[in-house]
Amino acid sequence: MSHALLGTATLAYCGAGMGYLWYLVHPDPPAPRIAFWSLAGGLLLHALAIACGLLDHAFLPATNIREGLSLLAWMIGIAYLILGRRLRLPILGAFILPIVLVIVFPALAVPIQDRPLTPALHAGLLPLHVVAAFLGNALFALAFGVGLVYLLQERELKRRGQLFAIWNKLPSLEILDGLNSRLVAWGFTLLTFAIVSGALVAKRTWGSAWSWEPREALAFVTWVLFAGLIGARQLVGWRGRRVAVLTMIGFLLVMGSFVGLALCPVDRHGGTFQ
Amino acid sequence: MIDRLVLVGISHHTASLPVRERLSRLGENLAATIESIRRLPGVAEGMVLSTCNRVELYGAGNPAARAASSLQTFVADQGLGADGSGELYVHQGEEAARHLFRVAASLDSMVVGEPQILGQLKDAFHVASSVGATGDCLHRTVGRAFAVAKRVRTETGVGRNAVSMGYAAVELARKIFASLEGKRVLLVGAGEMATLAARHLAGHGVLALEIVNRSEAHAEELAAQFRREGTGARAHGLDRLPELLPQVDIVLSAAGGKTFLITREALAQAVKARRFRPLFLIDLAVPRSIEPSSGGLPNVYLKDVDDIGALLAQNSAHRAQEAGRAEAIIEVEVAELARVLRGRSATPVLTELRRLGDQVAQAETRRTLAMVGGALDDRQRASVEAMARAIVNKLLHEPTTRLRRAAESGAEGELADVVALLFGLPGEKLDSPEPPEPSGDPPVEG
Repeated sequence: MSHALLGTATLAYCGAGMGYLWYLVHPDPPAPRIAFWSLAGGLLLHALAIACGLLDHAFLPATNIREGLSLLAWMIGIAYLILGRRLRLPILGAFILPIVLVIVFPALAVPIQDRPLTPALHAGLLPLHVVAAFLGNALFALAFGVGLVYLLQERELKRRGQLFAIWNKLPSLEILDGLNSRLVAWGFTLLTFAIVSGALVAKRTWGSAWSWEPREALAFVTWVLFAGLIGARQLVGWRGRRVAVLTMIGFLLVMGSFVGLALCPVDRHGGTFQ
Repeated sequence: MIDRLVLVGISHHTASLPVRERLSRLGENLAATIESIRRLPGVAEGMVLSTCNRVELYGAGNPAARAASSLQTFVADQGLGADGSGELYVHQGEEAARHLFRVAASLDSMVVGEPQILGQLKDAFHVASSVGATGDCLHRTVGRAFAVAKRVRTETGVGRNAVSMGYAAVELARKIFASLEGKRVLLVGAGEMATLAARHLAGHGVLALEIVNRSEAHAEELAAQFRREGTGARAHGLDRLPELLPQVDIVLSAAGGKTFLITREALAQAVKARRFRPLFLIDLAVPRSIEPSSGGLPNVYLKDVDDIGALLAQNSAHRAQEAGRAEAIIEVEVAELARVLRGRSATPVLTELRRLGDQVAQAETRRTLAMVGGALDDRQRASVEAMARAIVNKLLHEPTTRLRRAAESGAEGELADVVALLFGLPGEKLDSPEPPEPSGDPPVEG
């Protein structure tokens, strides 16, 4: 059931993605509206799929890579839906929806391998830890998309002679940079909370808060990277291209820890995504 | 009815500036000009469109050829002179409507896609209709022209991209900065082109202008001019350039020299001093005044004359392409207007025919009822009236439909005459223009 729902949602995401891409090429007013509603419909179906999982596990469905990717894609979609609506930047959809699809496709393809959750993990802080980690990652994903747009737009504006027509359709560099700044700040806050709450859960469950297992180490590296980024922006005034590139690297680290470690579950996160 | 439309005019495509200047007199007192063309033989409606690039007299008359020759003579009398007679164009019917649509949609403009022309046309129409010079023909045609202009603007990219140096500067700046409000502009050199670009930026709300020039007096003069126009501006000597660089967001340079006025090194320092806030430089000088490699510095965006030129060429190529789509829209609209107006031109005959039928029906009903009416009750009297009307309607149904259909396909002229002749309708009514509709806004669709 949940698999079928997810498949239908993915179709809706494809439709939304095509709508946004169409808008990128031809600025026709109905395209972003159709894309928006297609995305909203997809997210609703996807939410139902996640709810099915929730009923099955009696816990947030994030216990295997399939569910993890699915939950991440859903959160990116929701975050973009709200953000894109508020900022009136439907053009970003052409860059965000492909990210959603890249994440949701493997979720459809990976076989289901349910693993019962250790009862000890049903601690009160755990759901918060999971939600914060996922939402933080979703915001980093958006920052990745915004960074991509920034690099494209900057390359166009720096180009000598003729420019590709796209420069006129993308938002201004300052707007993109400001967006990056806010997304990274929020993502970092959530990541920090995820790490602290995770450590508290670990302390209670295993007695030690931090064990330098690969997943924790990568989370730490990511945290340091974003902390450095925020510091450099505030103190030295770093902005623009450099920040966009580092943000994108940060998100790739997040995804790397997500996928890489899930495929070789050697740590106490045990290939799960809490 | 579209056959009645006439246009006589000159534009930048056909006439030299001196000729346009002579004729622009017609635009000085529009109402008076319209009054005098309305008094011309054969001209029933009139409108005058006068801008710096064109003077066009629109009219309607039946037959159109007569109105056209009247208007032509009128324009020639305005001192067009021997040199100008070949510069005049005369269009009638659909040709005239097409021209008007192209003008309204800014396809005939010197800068294709510039938006002012539509406003000028609206003003021209307003004046003409306020003196009562516009009738059904101009009302429908010009009203449709407004709708066509709007359609072209929303459905095609004509008018979407910058085509002047100043616009290009503004457009690029807008893609670098979130907003131009509150930004500071540095003008290096007081040349005309840079000043023009600076004025464009000032029009978009930049906070202040710093003007640097070899001759400080000249800079001060220009600054005073900008201040009068409401933009804060200060003049400086060339030696203050390094300290100004970190304070501004946009640099417009037009002061050429043997060496670069702004070096990469100076910019690299400025970028650090301004904490990497973006800096947009436009080098309009030839030879260049800003070291070209500076464009590689982080958050520095440098455009020279050729870059801007390429952008403009690209934009006008894009506009030309979009203009093709606009022309297609206009063709459809002209055909539609012709169809509508033709259908309307059959109305006088149809109205007369209908009036005649009603007259006959009523007269015969009266006569019959006068003879036998006393013996009938109300219901029976009503039946007699209905029968008379039904006979007339049945008889006229087929001729009416055919006439209207013929009119819409453009072949009603003869048929209408034949109908008028056969039924003994007052034929002269068909030739006179219809009474003008009450003045006011034209029927703008969409």
